[in-house]
Amino acid sequence: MAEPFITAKDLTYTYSGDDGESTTALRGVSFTVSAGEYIAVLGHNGSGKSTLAKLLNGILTPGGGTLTVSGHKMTSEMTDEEIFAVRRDVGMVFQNPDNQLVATIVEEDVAFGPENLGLPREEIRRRVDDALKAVGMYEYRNSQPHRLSGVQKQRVAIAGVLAMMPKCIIFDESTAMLDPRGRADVMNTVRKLNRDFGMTVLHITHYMDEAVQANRVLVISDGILSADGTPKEVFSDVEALRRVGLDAPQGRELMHALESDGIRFSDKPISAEECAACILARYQHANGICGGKEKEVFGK
Amino acid sequence: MTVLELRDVCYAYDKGTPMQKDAVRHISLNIEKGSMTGLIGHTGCGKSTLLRMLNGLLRPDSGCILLDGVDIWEKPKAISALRFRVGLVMQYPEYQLFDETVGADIAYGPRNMKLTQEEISARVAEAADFVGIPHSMLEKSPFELSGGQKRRVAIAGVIAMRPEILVLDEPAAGLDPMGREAIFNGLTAYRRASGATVIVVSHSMEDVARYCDRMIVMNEGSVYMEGTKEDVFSRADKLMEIGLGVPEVTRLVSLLRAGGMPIPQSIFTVEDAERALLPLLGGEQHA
Repeated sequence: MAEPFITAKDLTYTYSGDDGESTTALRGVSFTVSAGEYIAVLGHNGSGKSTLAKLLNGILTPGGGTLTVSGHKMTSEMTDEEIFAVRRDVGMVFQNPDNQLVATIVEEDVAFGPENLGLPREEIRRRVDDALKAVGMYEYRNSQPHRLSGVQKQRVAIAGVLAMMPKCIIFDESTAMLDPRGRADVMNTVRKLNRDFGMTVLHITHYMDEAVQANRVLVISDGILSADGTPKEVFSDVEALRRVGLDAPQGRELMHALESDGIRFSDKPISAEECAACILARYQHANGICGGKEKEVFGK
Repeated sequence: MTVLELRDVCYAYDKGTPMQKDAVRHISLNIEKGSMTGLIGHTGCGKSTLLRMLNGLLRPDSGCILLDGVDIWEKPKAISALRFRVGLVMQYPEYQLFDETVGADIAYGPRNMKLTQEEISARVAEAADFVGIPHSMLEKSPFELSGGQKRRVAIAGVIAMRPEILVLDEPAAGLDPMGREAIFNGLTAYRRASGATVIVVSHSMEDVARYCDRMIVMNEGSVYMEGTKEDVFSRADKLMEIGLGVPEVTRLVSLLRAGGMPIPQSIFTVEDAERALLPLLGGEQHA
């Protein structure tokens, strides 16, 4: 069994303010991430999820506990070379691409990272082209970033990270500023990176419909890890989600409300289709209608 | 009663150049006094341009906008007074906070209205109450607040002008469920107390379904659909044609109908679905 890509043990972090007031963002978080996993990190605003992301690529260093990322122990004593090595392995895409794009031409922006790695010219060219193709922005390689739409800019920002060929990408609320179509578009790119390129993905979000798409969901609340499981496991507990300020998908919410009214269901599905099938089966059973029809309509 | 009327309004950017973009094309609309309207459509459909015309930041190329029956551009020099009557909250308004304290920031609008200090203080307190900002926070720097709180302070700054029409561009964007709820509850409270008309851009069909009574759907600069939320959400296929949808619970209900359950189509919230389903599933009807 290979070493986990990320190992966090009792991880803590406290911000100290100018006026002596300090805010504890993480109060002892432990988890491991294996290479190739697709994980959603879910939490409300101010839960500590962005602090976690900053610890994972060395923007911050742990206040307490231990954190190992891609074989490097993350501490404040790390040399610049070590931090640089971690950042080469763990790329990060932020919420606002305007804060991440630096050049005046798309392909120059994507080349910025590989150039800093000191790679040969042909290698840079190949990586830039591959990265732009992977996010569907190759046709725009000679465009000016400020002429692009929000979602196109975000795709360029992702290409810039991809061109570094990291082992893992962290998306820190990278869809929050996009409209639903733009979000779906970025989510497709995220899924593709994980599925086709085997990249480890940590997607930080408070959109539960995005978290549902991951293989595993971590819920952070007030600095602690309050849930860790498959989307189905995490979303089945509607009350626990509410306690940490999050909603479940509406289908799950509805079935939970009906369960509180004393209706029993055979399963705890998440998607609207599965919930409808489950409610229909219950209806047919309650009213003595011969079952089976839901299988025709909503067959898996 | 119509409070706001748009007659054949058009607006284009980069007019007369090869880059010309017709952002708003021949829009005619009536907005009822006291209503809460959800304005939906994809990025680039002209929503934000339309909002900017409503409070006179942009002037229509052709057509006119009537507030209480009077063309807002009748006296162009008086257009700044319109901005006290039609309050606009732009996207990510928290980036526009600038004053030293939360209270001073909320007071900025009323101060420009040349109100007395007493009246300004009263309005700041009232606006803070609507959006759920405790008075103890008024002396703090805006930069000490969380993102959701900053957003509510920015909205309070517009509410403090007591606008008859409150126009907001995606006020809940990027906020978590509790933050979204706090914003929409604030808008609802202000509307109930003042009788103001609210027009709100949102990408969340669930939020529109919960808080709005009317809807305007824009597509490529034109009004694509318009009416009560029942009218609009009952035509899911038409919404889907332009890549929009209905609330998830409404979609679930139509799947149940297709499966033979006698349940009405016009269900837009989880609570309504629960109420309609309970008797059908053999549950007690006490709920």
